[in-house]
Amino acid sequence: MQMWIIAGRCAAGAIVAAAAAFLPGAEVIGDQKAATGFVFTEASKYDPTAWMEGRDRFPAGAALKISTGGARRALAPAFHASADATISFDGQRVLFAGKPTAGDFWQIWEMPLAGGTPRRVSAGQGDCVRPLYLPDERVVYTRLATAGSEIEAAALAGGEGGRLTFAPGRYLTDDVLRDGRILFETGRDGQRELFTVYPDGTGVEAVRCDHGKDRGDARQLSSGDVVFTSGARLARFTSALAAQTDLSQPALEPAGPVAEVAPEAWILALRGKDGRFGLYGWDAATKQTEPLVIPPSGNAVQPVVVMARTAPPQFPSALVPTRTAGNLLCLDARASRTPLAGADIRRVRIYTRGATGEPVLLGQTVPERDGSFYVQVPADRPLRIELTDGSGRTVRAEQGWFWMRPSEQRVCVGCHTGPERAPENKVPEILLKTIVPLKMLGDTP
Amino acid sequence: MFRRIRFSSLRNRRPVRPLLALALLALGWALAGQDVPRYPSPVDLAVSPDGQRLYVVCEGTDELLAVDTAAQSIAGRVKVGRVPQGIALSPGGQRIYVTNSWSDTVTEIDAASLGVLRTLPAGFEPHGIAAGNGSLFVANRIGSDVSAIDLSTAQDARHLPAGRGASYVAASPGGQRVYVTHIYPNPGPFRSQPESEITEIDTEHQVVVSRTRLHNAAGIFHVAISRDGRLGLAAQLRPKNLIPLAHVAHGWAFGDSLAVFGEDIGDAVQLPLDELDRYFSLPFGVAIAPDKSKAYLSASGSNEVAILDLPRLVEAARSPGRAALANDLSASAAYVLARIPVGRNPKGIALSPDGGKLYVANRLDDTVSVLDTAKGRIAATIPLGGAATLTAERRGERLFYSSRYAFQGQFGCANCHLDATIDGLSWDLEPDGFGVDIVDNRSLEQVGDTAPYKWNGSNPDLQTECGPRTERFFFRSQGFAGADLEDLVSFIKSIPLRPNRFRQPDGELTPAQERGKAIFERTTRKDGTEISELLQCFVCHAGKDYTNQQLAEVGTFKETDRSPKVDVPQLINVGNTAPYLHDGSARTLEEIWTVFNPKDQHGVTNDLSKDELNDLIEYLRTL
Repeated sequence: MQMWIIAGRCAAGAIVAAAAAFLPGAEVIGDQKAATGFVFTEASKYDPTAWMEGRDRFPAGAALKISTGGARRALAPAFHASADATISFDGQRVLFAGKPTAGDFWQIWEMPLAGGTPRRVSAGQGDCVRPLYLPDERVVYTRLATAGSEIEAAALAGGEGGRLTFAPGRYLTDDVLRDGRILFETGRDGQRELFTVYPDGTGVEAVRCDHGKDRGDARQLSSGDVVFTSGARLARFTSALAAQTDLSQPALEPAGPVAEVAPEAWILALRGKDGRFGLYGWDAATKQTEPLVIPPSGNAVQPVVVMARTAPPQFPSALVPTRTAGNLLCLDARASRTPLAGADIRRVRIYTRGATGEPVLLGQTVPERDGSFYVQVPADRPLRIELTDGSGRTVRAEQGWFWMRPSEQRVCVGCHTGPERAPENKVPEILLKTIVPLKMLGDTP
Repeated sequence: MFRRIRFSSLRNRRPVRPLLALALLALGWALAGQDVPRYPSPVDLAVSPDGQRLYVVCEGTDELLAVDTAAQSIAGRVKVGRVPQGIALSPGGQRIYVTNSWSDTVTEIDAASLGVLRTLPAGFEPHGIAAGNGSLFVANRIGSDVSAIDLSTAQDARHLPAGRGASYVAASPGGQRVYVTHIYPNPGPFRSQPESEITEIDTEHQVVVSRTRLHNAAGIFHVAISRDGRLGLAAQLRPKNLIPLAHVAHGWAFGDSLAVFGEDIGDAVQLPLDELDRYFSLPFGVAIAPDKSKAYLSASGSNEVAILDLPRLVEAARSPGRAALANDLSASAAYVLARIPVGRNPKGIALSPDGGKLYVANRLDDTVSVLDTAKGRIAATIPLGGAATLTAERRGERLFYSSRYAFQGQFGCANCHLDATIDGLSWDLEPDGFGVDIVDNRSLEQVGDTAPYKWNGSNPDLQTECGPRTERFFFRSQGFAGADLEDLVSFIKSIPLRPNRFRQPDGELTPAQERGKAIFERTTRKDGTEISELLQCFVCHAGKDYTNQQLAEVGTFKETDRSPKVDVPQLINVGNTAPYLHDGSARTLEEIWTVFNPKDQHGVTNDLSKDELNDLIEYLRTL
């Protein structure tokens, strides 16, 4: 079904004819951008959460297709497998994960949308998937391994990637936000959660601290909202709220990120009654779906609209790579979005992870009367904070790990305050006492 | 805010014959008027009681424009004083009053004929104005006071103390009370939380009857009072100058908020306008619908107008947890209904008498947006004319006042340099370490020729200061570069010098100022012993901007400083730029010597008497 026509509301409030089934000559006009088609992945088998268990999401291969002007064609027909497409900011090129032969690893490739020979971007051994363009002629992607995965950034021109994640776990790149941060998901115990990190690996944090159900496959819309799957439903983060909100959605189960054709007009991968995924147009205003791509066998997933878009601002990293530690200032260890049950917090302990996965205490400090503390911790190592009371009993401990980059200067309101909490303007007592951080460097030189 | 006029090249700061100086100034003014494009730059608005006329104050062309609201075209122009800022109408609308911030006057205009009736005296740099009980009440920014101008005698009869940088005024219905805000925090101890106030004045007795405390707020802008007089709103900033600026996310640099006060509320409450990932940067104008259903605010950095549900706002302000809402970025979802894009740098806003239209002065677009309040959308944009081409300075001015470059659009240059001046705060900037090198925010007047920049002198030019440094350590996002950066620097260099209020009109010094000048230029102590050259005031504070552009050690080093040496600051208009010293630890000029110069390392001053120090201060204020 390629005659899908939907109506969407553009940012200026005018109604625009959208998608127009990508008929020959049809365009979507909104914010001076025009969608000229969409790219998707066709695969006989698709397991969207296989990456959390170290398995291939496309165990039987996959093929990127582009639908434009009413016609479809394979983007990289010579490849054994291709998937995870993302479109360049100018709307002219596509970045994707591909395997030239069945025996190859997944690697990152780029090619013109108009056709041509793909050019390899990523280097080294191992599977690299889910690439995204960064605004500074770099790309960010996920490097998969049996024991976990890492997020890396590399030059678009090609070459070795640099790690952005430094804690054990499974990560998967989702999107590059309009503010320049990288949106990614983590997987643990079968549950996913959404995080952001700056393009130099600093400032890793949860998008929200409302602890929703299994959140992944996130993508930011032109409104700034982030839409993702939560359990078997679509959900939304909107800038004004600290918790996820539900949204109108089709009856069928969604999989993977939405592709925004126009505001309130998306292309979605939905699971049909036969268990296979197909692509549908979804008009949130009329709450109607229209089938777009329903392969006779297998699945159609990962829709991406071909459209130029404004590149996010570049992130001006202030890191000094030669340093080996970062500084962490917390304004109030006792501040928390969830009550600490009257606990008397006397110590802050910081751990790293030992060679066999065991927590290794880096040191402990006594927070000031206002709860502030200031420490120096090793860079690019897993870190975990624990709060204890006067008897040494653990009052609150992080479940996951975070990290700090070399020379990163990190500040936080509290140990668990959530992104909605802005700091109170007050000189932290620890900085009235000393401007030298307490060193908790372990065996770091 | 300012015209692109360069006085610096015409002005000799060393002794000049007053008449020659005045002639040069006049010549410069005339030449500038011919050569430099002028932009209307609308800053404030008022609507006639019948709704047929919109009066627009244009600071860039020194005019009041009368706009026919039906035809949406300019129906008349009135030349007023220099750099007009505020406007008020008489209760029946027959008279229009416009404050002239550089002339220190108020122009009284007949609304029917648009003829100028009188020019009334005001205090130093008058801004906001309101009428009440036969007087005009004018907030004087440099005077930090309120002029009560008697309309019957045309005298600036009384000055009432207000907050530092008094700027905006609103009258209660009937004019029995006026409420005054101020843009700089009141003086306080070093590294203490900024304190501001809303000063309430009884217009009949012309006395201050209350000062509503706004804790941890600095930069209070327009204020509005509901038609029933029970609710007041003021747009305000909550700067985060006391915590290290290590990142910007989560409201770490500024909170954009609203002070809610009045009988409906009880004690004043500060409620945020920001969201978790989107900021309502530099809130400025405020208006309350006649039926108290809605409130409107302009964001001069985000180029938006917000529509607020007023009952829900009041509910939030009365809630038991209201104190904690000030730092809750999710709170605004309860009362902000919409944010509507308007033109660049929206400043004053005004509602039509029926509340059906909201007019927004887009200062850097030279337009007025007309918001249909029922539909919540922009119904029209009225052009105000002016120069068709944009100069580099004007382009740079747009960059200076925009908040789009900081991470998530949280702030712009103008957040710290309010109206291209200062903010009266000391900041803890992260690149030096946490709690290290606390720095006073310096004035931008005449900075073009004062390189190097930054208190440690590490930035050789404004391009470095405003480009990579600002991007990396302030904005934390892609900032100014290339042609944009050059435009921005052009604007900063073009920021003209405000008239010095401490100098006599004829340019001569008073006897006290003469005595102070002698102290400033002395080479021997009172006992006749020589003062070494490096301790003579005028050696370091030399040249036309009163800086030798070198680093100096003046005994103000603290354990939190990395170096004992600081860049010698320029002294232009130094009387306006408190606090002082590199870290802002001196609240007044006097404290520089009475508190922070015990060993005579910052000039020799310990042999001076109290009166002599006063003389020195009198002279410094004339620079």
